[in-house]
Amino acid sequence: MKKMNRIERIETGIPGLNELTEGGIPSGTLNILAGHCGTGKSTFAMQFLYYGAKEKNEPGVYISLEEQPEEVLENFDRFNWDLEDLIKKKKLSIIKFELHKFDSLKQVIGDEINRIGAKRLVIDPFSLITAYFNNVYDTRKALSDLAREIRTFNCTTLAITDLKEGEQSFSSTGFEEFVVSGVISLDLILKKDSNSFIRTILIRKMARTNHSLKLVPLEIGSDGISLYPDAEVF
Amino acid sequence: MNNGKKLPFEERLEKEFKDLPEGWIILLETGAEDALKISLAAIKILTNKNYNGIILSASRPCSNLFNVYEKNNIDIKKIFIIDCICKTQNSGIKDSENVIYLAAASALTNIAIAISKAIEKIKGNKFIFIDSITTMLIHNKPDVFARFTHSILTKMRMNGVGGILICLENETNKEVRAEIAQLCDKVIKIGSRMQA
Repeated sequence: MKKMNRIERIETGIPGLNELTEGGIPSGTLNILAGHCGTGKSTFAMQFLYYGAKEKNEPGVYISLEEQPEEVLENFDRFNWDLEDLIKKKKLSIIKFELHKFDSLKQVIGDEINRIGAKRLVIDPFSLITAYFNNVYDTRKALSDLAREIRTFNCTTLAITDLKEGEQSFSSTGFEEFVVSGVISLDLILKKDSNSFIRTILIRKMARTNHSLKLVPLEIGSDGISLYPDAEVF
Repeated sequence: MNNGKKLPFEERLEKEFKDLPEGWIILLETGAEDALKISLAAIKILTNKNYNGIILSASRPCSNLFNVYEKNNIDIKKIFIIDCICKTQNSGIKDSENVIYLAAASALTNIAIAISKAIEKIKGNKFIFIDSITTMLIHNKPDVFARFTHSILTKMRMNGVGGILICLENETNKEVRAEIAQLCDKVIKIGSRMQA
């Protein structure tokens, strides 16, 4: 007898992603969103929060480790997203966290999640946390502890990982991808014959999901990111 | 086109386009100097049959195409153009419901996406017109373009969308031409000076 698939999944709001992931990301999981600069990671992450808050009544928290909330908002000016309205309605929260206070990060995230009843969380960039530690052991331990803690929040989480040009792994330490449930990889592929880049997405790992392993083209338009699961990359 | 009286090549095309099955795909082979006339005749016949045309143009900018179509009494409300010229030249780009501008004829991934969007957007009977395979091959490697064409034609068949691919006789890579021909329902060799 065929087993029923009872895994609760959340729709990301990224058109085309459901088709690659059996209907969405498993609810409450921690997932890495990895990519080089310009691949659309922050846009993907904010679209995920925007859709949840706007369409699903699932409030979201955006923890920025680099930019002030105003700067984060400015980055998404070009999209047709009324983010400030969602902030006023306590459906969205953008927080700048100072990394030198790392020990209080879990507390800050937990408090903000409780304040607005968040179901979605973004940490941008998760990879910056590695800069706080002096050695590999401390980094791994801290990331592992943080990942465990984040899971207890029962929020579906996207942890953004910035990759250096030419880097082939999905995280700066080569470790994070093993402590998370999912790895979504965004990329820019150079087409030498046309001297242009193509944006792509690959679901590299997603626990409890029979996900696609196809490299899928994506576009960024005025409504955000759209994936084209039926299209091929040429 | 002449005054009311149909030319032999127009009559031939009308005959060839009669009773087309769903999802038909035709390879039209013609000479370089006849390509425009043949293209216009084919598009006119199909739009008169109430088909909407999705034109992939790697040869002429959309403004020029719309002018030529209007001059030849083709209903441009039934035309949607995927323009691979204007952005390359960074000129002639205007906001339009009926045009998608792409960066280059070599941007095959974006062309495939644009074709998917156009298929979804345009309701009713429709056909895709690729103008031309020969020009596309100037900008793309033959094996990559063959793979692209295979993918597009498969999508067309799955969506019941018709298609015409223009190919210049004796000027197109033979292997690619053969590969594409075997995917088409019909190969029509035609010139504007053909006799009745």
